[in-house]
Amino acid sequence: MPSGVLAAHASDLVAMPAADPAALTAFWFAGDRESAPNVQIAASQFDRSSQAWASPQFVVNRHAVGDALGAGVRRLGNPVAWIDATGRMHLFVVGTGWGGWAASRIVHLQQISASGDPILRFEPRGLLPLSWLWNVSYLVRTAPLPLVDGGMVLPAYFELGAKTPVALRFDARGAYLGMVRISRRTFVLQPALVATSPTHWSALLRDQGDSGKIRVSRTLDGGATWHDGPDLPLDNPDAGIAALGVGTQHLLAYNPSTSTRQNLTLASSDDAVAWTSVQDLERGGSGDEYSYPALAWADQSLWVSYTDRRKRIAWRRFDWVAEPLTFATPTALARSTEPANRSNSSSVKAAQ
Amino acid sequence: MNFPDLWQTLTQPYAPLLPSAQSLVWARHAIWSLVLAALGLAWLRRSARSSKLLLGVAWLPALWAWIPGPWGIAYWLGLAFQIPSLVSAFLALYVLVHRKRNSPPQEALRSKWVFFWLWSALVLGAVLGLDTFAVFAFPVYPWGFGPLAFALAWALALLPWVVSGNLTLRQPILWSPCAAMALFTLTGWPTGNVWDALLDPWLWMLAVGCLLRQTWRRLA
Repeated sequence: MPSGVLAAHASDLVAMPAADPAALTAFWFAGDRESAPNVQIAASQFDRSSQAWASPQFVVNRHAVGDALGAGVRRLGNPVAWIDATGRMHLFVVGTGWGGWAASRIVHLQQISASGDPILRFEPRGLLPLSWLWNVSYLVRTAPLPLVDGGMVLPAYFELGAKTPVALRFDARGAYLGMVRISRRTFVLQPALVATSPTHWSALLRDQGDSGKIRVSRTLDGGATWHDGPDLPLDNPDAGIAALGVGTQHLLAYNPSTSTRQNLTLASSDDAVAWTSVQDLERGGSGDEYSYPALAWADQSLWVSYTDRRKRIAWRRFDWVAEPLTFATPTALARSTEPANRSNSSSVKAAQ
Repeated sequence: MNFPDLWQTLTQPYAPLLPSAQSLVWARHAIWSLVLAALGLAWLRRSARSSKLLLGVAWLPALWAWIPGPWGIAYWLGLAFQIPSLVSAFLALYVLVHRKRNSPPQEALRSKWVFFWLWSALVLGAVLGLDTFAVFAFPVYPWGFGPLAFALAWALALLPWVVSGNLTLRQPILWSPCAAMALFTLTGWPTGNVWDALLDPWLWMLAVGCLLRQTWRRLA
């Protein structure tokens, strides 16, 4: 945590290219409290040579973003990072207008510091134009699904009244291509995307309805159309989740409860339907909160970060056994809709 | 190509030509300045008194909109409402250019083409507003980045002249969409989405207000 910071939340992890001195970059928002005026986006990089995290630095400030855009940004939150086909990092950050989180917009920033530079610097590329109603109230939270053309699908969601998840498509250089709605339900948000084949993807959804379970929507055509599916038999206390595909395996970090965020668990699945718990990440006491997990695969390891009682960001690293990659045969759909592997090898059982 | 394929081609997501963040900074200053100036003059007209002092007061918000950063009003209006539509900007420009004329004259507002545009605005805004809350099965707003919406918007903008065969139609509410489409074609302002160029929520509310007022007067 940067010094003097009282609260931290909503971390995100992005694996760095093999040639980069850092294996991983973590982003989160930090300040006096969530939605405090002094909240900024913080970052830290895990150095490959020293095997340690660098000192955290603030990389996005709402005043600087407002000056660059020519319009005010009231609060910042929920950073989501992605590296494009040229190796440049993009950062998507929630910036609120008048009215709190429900008046949020998604700010798209891109890296201007050189690759390998320990000081990360970003400049705003603009606001993503996502709605006619003064461009409110879209947010990001979960990791993008990378595609084989170098582009990606960025999960996002609308949350003013109706909570609806959407998938935003970007090309290999980070240009916005369009939006597809993920679910017809109006009480699900923060979609976490996993691909079970080049064209079969699942969106695992945080539930704000009454089921208390992780909701699901699936696509069979590479994200062109989505269909709501039956709920997973996994509890969800209206809390954020994280999912990651590593080869043929799918991983899910979630709070296994219908009412509290005091426990955090890692589960795995072969088909994104049947999930098995493989690791307790946290088992807290009454009133504790371990939430908003993020997952990444880097240097043959699984990395997990999450919010620790809203005061700091915790992280863990798991070593994994690699196995050959066995993806399904690509279909006739355009290459641009096929998901890319997040690693060059697959993996199965975790060994801490 | 069958109709479903054609429809998918025309409505599928295309790479939107988003205006640069730098150009939008200037567009935000200019458009808010125009709109605020028109609102200031409208306020001045409504007040019974007229003096140089009041005229100066009416122009102050327009000048204020050109101050960059947190000291400028465009910065805060942008925080809440982003940038007004280009149609709003051209209607404001008309108000400024013809500031000594009492406008809009009632006969102009009763024109069938003005009526047509007001209803078009009402329907479009209602659809986009409902779409914001995911009422429809497919999102409508993203179509505004595609060629179908672009062609449709141009066709609608030119419709009054094409159908009437009267090239002398001059009501500002009629040529504003044409001018907006021309500027949008050149710049992509304000978002690269044609719906945002044609209509913003405040303009939609104004259109609804005009229609309600006309309906009330007819009933009265």
